[in-house]
Amino acid sequence: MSSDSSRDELLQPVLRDTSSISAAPYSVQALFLTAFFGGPLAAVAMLATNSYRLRRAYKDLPMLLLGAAIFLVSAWIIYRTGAGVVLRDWLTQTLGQRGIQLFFRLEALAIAGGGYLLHRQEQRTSDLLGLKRPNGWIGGLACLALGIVLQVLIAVLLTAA
Amino acid sequence: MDATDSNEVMTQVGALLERRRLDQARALLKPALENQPDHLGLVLQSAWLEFLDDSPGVAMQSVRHVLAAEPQNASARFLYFRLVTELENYAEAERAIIGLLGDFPEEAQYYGCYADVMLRTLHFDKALRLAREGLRYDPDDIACLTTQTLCEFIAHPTSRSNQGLQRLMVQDPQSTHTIRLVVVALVQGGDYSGARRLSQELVRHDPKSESIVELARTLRIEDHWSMLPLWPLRRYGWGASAILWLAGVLGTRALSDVNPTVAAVYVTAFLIYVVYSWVWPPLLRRLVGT
Repeated sequence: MSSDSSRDELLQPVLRDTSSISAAPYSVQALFLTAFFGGPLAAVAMLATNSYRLRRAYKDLPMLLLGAAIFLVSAWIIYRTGAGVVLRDWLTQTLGQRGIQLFFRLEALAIAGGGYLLHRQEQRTSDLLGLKRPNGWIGGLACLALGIVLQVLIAVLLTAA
Repeated sequence: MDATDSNEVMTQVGALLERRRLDQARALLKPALENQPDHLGLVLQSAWLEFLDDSPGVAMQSVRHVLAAEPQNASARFLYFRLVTELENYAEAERAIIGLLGDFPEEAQYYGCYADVMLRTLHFDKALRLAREGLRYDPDDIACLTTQTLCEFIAHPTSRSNQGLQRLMVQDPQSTHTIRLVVVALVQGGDYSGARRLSQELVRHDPKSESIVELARTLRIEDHWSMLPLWPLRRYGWGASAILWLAGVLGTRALSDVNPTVAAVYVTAFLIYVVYSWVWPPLLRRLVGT
């Protein structure tokens, strides 16, 4: 009886129409390069695009918000608090003039790494089955531009206020 | 030609299709169909023939003709499922295979095929459950074992043990299909040399298959001696690239405080390696491709 109900449940359709079918995500290469050159918000934008393609945007929303929040909180700490002044000085002394930039780049890569863990099964399945992926240049450059614009805006707001 | 002759032709064509002797099957089928163009069995065999010969449009026309006359014909329904899957109409494929499973609930192959559709549409958990359900009815079903093998590759990419593949190798060790999965397992384990040798065997086995020739070519590149310095990047992917970048930045900074000359050598070596990793693999692909 329970086996029959489990089988019935297994045979429930999940692909009701074309819009409900997951599409292969952007490659890990596109995600990595977008995060590397575009920063944390570009990484979040790329992950959000992948979540949408995989039809799991609502499921991933808390993690996407967490990624954006990590950037906003760290930017606020660095630019608006006393501890941030100490951290900025330390980064500049340790890593040079581009220390803060490197810090945010590392943060972007950490967010991209977390996002990869979130979508690792889908990424591996796409690789293994050779599923057709979208053009990484178009999506990557769009997310990169969006991320950079937002980050500049936030930096301006935080330093000006 | 009478009905007995037609049935005899159908049996012979079926046997030839199983062995992928498509030209012989076509030669046998053509005169039979000219004599009896409305014989549904022969039309269905011709649909299978066109499907196997990569002509899904022609196959679809024939199978629709059969299904209009015999909507419950299981072979025609299964071929229709295979065709819509190949055309990537996955919602229709799911509808078709659920219909078949409703009528044949213990047919393991149908579970395996449904699992394959689920994997292609990235429903990993459901694919695995379907494969396991199918294996309850037939523990040796190739379609279910294949999906199980792929799921194990996806869930545990670095694992040395793959139960699905082990069973496939016992059940169907000589098939191209199984050997391809072994090649995947070797690549996942980082054994490019073993994978290349096996792929060359595959080419000897089936030299006309474009995908196999392409696989062998790719592995020849991956196993080339000049790719050896890139082993960490190929084995550990973008995580290794991130660590390489960090090592470059931190190493340069630390060394420039201690000895600027050593730092300059370090930066030069780092940049050469980075440029090599970007430029050489695509260049090698072009060289091997020509």
